[in-house]
Amino acid sequence: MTRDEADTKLRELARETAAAAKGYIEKALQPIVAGYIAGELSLGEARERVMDLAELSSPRIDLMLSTQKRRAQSIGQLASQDRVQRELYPAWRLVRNAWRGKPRTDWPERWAAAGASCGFEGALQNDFIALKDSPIWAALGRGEGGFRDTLGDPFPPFAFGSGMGWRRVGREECERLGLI
Amino acid sequence: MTEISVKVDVPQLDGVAARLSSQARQGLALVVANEIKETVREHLFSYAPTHHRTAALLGARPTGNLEDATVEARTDGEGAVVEVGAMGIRRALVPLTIRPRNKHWLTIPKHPLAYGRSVANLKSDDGIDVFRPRGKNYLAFRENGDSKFATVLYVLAKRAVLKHEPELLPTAAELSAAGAAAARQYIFGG
Repeated sequence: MTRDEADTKLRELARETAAAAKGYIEKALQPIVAGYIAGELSLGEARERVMDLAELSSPRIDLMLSTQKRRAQSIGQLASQDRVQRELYPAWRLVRNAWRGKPRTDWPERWAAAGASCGFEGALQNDFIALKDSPIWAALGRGEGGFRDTLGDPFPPFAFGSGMGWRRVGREECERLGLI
Repeated sequence: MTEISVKVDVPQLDGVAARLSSQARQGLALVVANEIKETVREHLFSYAPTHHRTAALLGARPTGNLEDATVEARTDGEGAVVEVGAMGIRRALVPLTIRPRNKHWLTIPKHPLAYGRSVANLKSDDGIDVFRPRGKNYLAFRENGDSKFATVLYVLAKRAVLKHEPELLPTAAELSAAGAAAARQYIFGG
């Protein structure tokens, strides 16, 4: 990914986040406004509900913002992949790099399904390591195997609210593992 | 953002680097800065999930300040400058004294409910009535509607010192070695 592509992707991400937040708030506001217009709610009740809505939605909005920030971090990581980075560190390792209260435990199944979909091209079967250009990353992002919480990106966090990320794997280790 | 300046010294490359065109030298500086940035980023991300001492002590949800760090790099005439944006990251360089901004007191969390959350959050998210008992330097609430006893949420302080935590960032030697490896790769290829 070039820097220009990364900039474009980040702009798309910001637009997408704004649209999602707007959609969520509009959807939640609709019945309150409708109730007020229909006279089912007094102005005071409608105001209370709007205030409750702002409070109730904050964890969800936090999660949305955090997911988008992690996507942006990965885009930054991809934009940093110059020739030297690709030579020194040809692969990524998928690791947990953010704490989660209830972490997903199905990453081995996700990895197996994504790998099976591309014949583990440039990827290890027994460890979450794959070459940077392996199709397994796109397969993980597509949710191969029927995982429906994925974001469609070929980069972390792969799934909504996930705390997974990439770490670089050096050339020597890649050679030792038989990846190159 | 906290800036970390790194001077990459590779004596055996000096002669070669001097013979590079100005464009190639600029490319070299960028590659080195990029490598140092990635090294800092990886270090932070590998350190972050293990660095939840206070949260663990209180049984609270970590704030994720380090996990959300942003790392940028640029070059100047001397070498690479890495900028790290994360709350309190300056304690990696020096002990950090924090003071209240626009308020009279710092609120130091002493209860899982309080960790990583402001008094306003507690009120708006959980409807918790936070109060300051007369003459006391803490904020409290009445747990389960108990009217007799108050549970401490925050201790009030005029300042707090975060201890120096150099391990938050890679050492200068590690950064220099990473930069040197990138420089060698850039010049001699592979």
